[in-house]
Amino acid sequence: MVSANSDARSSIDTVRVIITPENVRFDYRLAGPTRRLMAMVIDYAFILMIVFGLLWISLLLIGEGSLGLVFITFFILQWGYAGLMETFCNGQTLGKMAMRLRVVSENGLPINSQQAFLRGFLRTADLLLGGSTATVSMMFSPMFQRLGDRAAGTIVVIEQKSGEIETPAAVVTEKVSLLMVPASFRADRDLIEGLTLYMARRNKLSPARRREIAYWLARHFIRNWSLPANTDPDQLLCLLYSRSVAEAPRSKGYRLKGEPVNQASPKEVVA
Amino acid sequence: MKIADVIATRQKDWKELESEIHKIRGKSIRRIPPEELLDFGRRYRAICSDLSMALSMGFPPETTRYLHQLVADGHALIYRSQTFRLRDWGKVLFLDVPARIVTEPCTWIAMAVFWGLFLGSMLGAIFLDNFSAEVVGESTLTQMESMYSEPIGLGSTEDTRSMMTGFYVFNNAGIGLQCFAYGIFFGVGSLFVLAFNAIFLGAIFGHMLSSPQAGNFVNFVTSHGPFELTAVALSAGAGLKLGWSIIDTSGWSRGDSLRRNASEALELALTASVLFILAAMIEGNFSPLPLPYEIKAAMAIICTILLLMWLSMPWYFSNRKRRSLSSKSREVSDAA
Repeated sequence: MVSANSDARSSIDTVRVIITPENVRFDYRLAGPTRRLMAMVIDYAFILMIVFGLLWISLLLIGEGSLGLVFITFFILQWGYAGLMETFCNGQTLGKMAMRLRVVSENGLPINSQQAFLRGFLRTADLLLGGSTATVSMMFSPMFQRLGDRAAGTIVVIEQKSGEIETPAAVVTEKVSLLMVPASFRADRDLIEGLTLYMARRNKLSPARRREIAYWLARHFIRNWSLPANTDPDQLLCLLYSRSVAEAPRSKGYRLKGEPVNQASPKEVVA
Repeated sequence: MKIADVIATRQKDWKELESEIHKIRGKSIRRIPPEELLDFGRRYRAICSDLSMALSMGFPPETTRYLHQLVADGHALIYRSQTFRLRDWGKVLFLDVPARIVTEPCTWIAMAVFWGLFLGSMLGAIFLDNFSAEVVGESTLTQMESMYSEPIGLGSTEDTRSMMTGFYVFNNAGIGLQCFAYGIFFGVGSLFVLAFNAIFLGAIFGHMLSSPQAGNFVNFVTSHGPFELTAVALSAGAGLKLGWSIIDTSGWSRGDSLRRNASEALELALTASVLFILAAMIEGNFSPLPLPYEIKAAMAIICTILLLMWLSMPWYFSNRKRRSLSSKSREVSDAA
């Protein structure tokens, strides 16, 4: 299932799948042009605000001599703002923070200062003719890379919110009995994943909608096991979920390393 | 074993790794006690296998996402990139970059293009009647003439000097970096900016040298010339290197070749910026001083000597290293 799954996901072109040396894969959602444009507008607005603020202070309060410092600040902000921010805030500028974006290397690692400055400098080339070079470059890149990204080997991804540990809760099923499910029933991994995804969203749905969605999966079991036609599909799926999550697949050892053997005693597995 | 049980038993380990990641993040690897590092590695591996298990057993999506994030954080920490070190930058600036400038064809081509067009345009402006007016424009020329109509240093105050220093940094170093960035278009952008500046500056030089204000003009531009003109050519050389790496990939794919050369080109461009800033300091604070031409020329000569010394540094150090090595080997053979 895992391989089928990775095929399915990499065929969506805004998801970048990265496989680590530990053979763990994770997915990055690539950020599109609009979102990145918004982040850039925020950044430039911030830079202009600072420069005009300083200009105002320097002209009104200090005098012509301090204008040199304003020029130097403008220079540093214009050419170094993105590089410095992305180096020290791990791939984020203020605009990227606001739009929940982050720059990472193509291999999924945090970027270093060289990459940050390189893509910052090359932004000038990307903004040529109103950003048309960046647009063309992103159009012909499978990873939405502008020229600066190509040279630095970086991608811009959307930050995913980190999850919480959530333990599967037992679902109370009243309208269906355990006896409905044949003793030989084993859920395969696809089914377990489908059930888990359904259970994760179930609480947000109305009972009628639950039945409507659950019907498409439950009807196969209703037909195959010759259950009464009025069986509640939602309740049936809940029952299957409780049973399959309560049972580990027996074929391979899913027992944890360092776990005492007696804890996963045959009695429990069979139950 | 139930999924719920697995999560319950492993939860403690996950939370501990989470706090460890927070503790280790931002610390140098030498400051972390070895036991802690070992522990971190062991726990990270265990959680990698937990994630695989979560994916294959069908853990609740929230929990899987949590594990994903945990593995991603740990992964980023283990394979984190080189941190910034001042000593490395010293080596880059004084050994790597000068060696690259001397050995790279790109910088030589940029130098040749710049000086060729500059001198050609200067000669054109001196000997052809309408050349400088055609290239630069009448109004700019009259403006330049009025700028240098008074001896240097009369209108210069502390305030204007510091303001102009800032402006020169902003303007010149900005143009240099822009010239570098345009190099990504197969080097054409850099060559264009370089050629434009060479012809423009050459025409102004030629015009001013043959005008009555020549003395004042030369008095102003001499001191900062060596740094500034070198920096212009160096920026373009960096851009050319960037662009050329896409054309001649020496067996790599175009993207890979670009990536491999980009960081070296970036170092050249940053060095050019340093030169621009040095030039701006001289141009803002020394050039406008009312000093006799001999002193201004002496400054230019000192700058040139400094540049040459900097460029020869890698060879000086590599020779010294070789000498010390060979003397050592002689000692060894003597002892034998």
